[in-house]
Amino acid sequence: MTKKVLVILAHPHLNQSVANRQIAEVLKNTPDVTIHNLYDNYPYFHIDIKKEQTLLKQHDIIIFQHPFFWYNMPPLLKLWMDEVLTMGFAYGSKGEHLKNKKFMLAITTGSEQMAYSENGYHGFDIHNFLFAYKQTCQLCQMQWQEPHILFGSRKTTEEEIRNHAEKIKKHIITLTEAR
Amino acid sequence: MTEHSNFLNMIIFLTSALICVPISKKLGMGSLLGYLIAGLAIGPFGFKFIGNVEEVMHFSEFGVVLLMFIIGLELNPKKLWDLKIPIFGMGGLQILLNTLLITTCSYWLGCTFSVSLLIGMGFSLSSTAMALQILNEKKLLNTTGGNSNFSILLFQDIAVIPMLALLPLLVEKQTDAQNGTNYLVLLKTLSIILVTIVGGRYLLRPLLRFVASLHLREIFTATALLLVMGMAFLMQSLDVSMALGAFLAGVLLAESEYRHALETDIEPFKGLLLGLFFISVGMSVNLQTILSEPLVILGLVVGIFVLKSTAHYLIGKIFKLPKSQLIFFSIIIAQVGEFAFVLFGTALNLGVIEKTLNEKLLAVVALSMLITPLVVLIYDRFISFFCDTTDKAPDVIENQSNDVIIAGFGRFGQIVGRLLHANKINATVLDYEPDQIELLRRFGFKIYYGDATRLDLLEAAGAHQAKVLVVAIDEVESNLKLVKMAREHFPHLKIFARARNVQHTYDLMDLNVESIERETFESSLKMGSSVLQSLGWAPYDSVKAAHIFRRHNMEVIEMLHPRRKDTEDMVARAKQSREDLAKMFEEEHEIRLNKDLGWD
Repeated sequence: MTKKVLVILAHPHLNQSVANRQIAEVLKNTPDVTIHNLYDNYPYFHIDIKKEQTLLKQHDIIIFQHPFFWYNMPPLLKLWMDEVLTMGFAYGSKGEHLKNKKFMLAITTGSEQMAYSENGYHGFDIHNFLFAYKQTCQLCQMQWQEPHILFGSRKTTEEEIRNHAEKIKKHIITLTEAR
Repeated sequence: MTEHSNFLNMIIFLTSALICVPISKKLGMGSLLGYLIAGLAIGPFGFKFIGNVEEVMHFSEFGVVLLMFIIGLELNPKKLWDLKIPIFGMGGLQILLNTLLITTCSYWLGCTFSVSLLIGMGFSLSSTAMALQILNEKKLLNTTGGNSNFSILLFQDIAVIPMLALLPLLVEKQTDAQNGTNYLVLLKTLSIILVTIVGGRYLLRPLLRFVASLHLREIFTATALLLVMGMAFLMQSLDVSMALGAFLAGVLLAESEYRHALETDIEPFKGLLLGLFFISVGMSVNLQTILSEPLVILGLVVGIFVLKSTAHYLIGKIFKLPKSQLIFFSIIIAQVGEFAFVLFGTALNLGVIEKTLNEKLLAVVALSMLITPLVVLIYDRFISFFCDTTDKAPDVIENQSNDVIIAGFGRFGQIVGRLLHANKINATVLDYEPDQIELLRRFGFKIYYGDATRLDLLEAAGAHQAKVLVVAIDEVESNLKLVKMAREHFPHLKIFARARNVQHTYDLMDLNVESIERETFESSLKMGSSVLQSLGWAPYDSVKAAHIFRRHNMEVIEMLHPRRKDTEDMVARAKQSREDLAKMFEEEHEIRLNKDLGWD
């Protein structure tokens, strides 16, 4: 039996997005993938915690897809984490519902990769900013996957975006068909 | 007596009250003494304006009857239960101790045992009307001492029932057969009271509900009065006092949703009837009896006062009342009360006591009531300064009301109330539609039937203690009337008002209402968002559009509010505001299309 993939998509204005919309489109057509659009489901920011936890339990690979803004995730995704990844569910002595699931990050940034360096505009390598994600993954006993980052998303061509999306798709397929 | 002289009597009563009460009040002696003096002046032993003693007694008794109904209304089983320790402990001890002391004294003074016991029981009772009136006037009802007084008076209200039932057993020189009939009478009385209580529970509410649904205020009042008089008549025909019947009617309705409405309907009568009652007490002071043996009567009155006060002081000590309140607590209920009239009257009819003794006793009772305001006066002037005020034990202020009052419990108020209720915040709810009240009560809401725009009802609902008033009445005129009244009389209340439309919103803004919600605004915005979504908008975008619309709309209302009187300007502004809104939407649209927003 193949593994099931949940893409938690968090974008406040997906219609205005170019890269994220295309990536989501590609992922949607990948077998065993469910796209879960947070801003569409909870426009009033009132998250159904039980439903979200059930959804997590039903999937083996969890992907966060969102634009990287102010070195972080969109506010609704942060709220989702605060409310859904509770003690006793995601962490703590009895919180093992996410144990051994695979966690993948698929983000886009406005700046070029060069900006994310010691001498660059943002002063640090991108991985420094992903530390909180990594530790969250660790605390929930999930397995960290190499993140997919599309730099300079507004300057990329459609082809580059498509290639990026295909790369993610391929990664997903290797994960779902493993073992 | 003819109709005409009845009418004349009323004029005499009112005139005497009008003369005596303000004078008494101005002299700092309180209204009570004024009524008593008025009664004394017009009575058979004063100017003889009203000579027919029977007529006087009739009036007097009906005063007590209505008073007892109101007392009954305030005595619901739950209140009784909350006060069970002061009521049964202090009240029981008060009756027991006083009855014991007074019975012993009477026996010692040469009365037979049954007469002594009758005097002991009768004199142990205090005047609910007198004590509560004074406590109320001095705003002492919520102090520990006042509360204890109230509890004792409540217990007396109950204790008088077995006392009355006991009376037939005190009849002397009776054969065994008579004794049997007495038990039978007692049994009959008790069973009829029981039937009335059970029947009343099931019949009275549906009746009142029906009458209330007619929306005819005076018919509702008439029903209430009929109820009281009917119960009084029923009890009288059973040789039980009318007052007891009225009291029972009150208790039966104490728990009903119409309690507030009944209270407010009878409230205007209450003051007058209390006055009438005190006038009749004044009239019933038999000066001849007093003057024939002035020292004996006066000695008895003083003796009773001292005896009872001492007993109360002891009880207060036992129950650890604050020292500063102890003396006032003791003297305020030291008089003999209106129940004694009832008790002695019944005893006279049964032949337990003779007429002359009865008159003497009544003179003592009336005189003891007469001197109560005087004693209070003396206390205020001289004794209160010596009372130990060093103990700073704070008075227990009973929280007698909820923080929130919701006026109008239809579609709007209901949701507010249910949200509060779900979060364990109780609200006192006032509504006019009886059908709904019944339904909601079944779900455990505390709801009272009545017109919330009446000041007295609002007061009864606890507006003085509440913090928040939710005006959820849909009808604009009543809604504004209530807001104005609350602003004027209860300025501490935070007002949350439901507005029917923009015009109404402006009117509420004129009254500086803290929070105004147009009744359809929020739900319309929500539906607008849903429609946008159905047309393919991203849900979050549609919600944001509604947020933007809401803010803009409120700004426009704020802007137009000061200029609303100028109609021409209004039109221009309204047009402007439409343009503003369109512009705002365009700007928002551009912002979202702007790539520099950063999101992608």
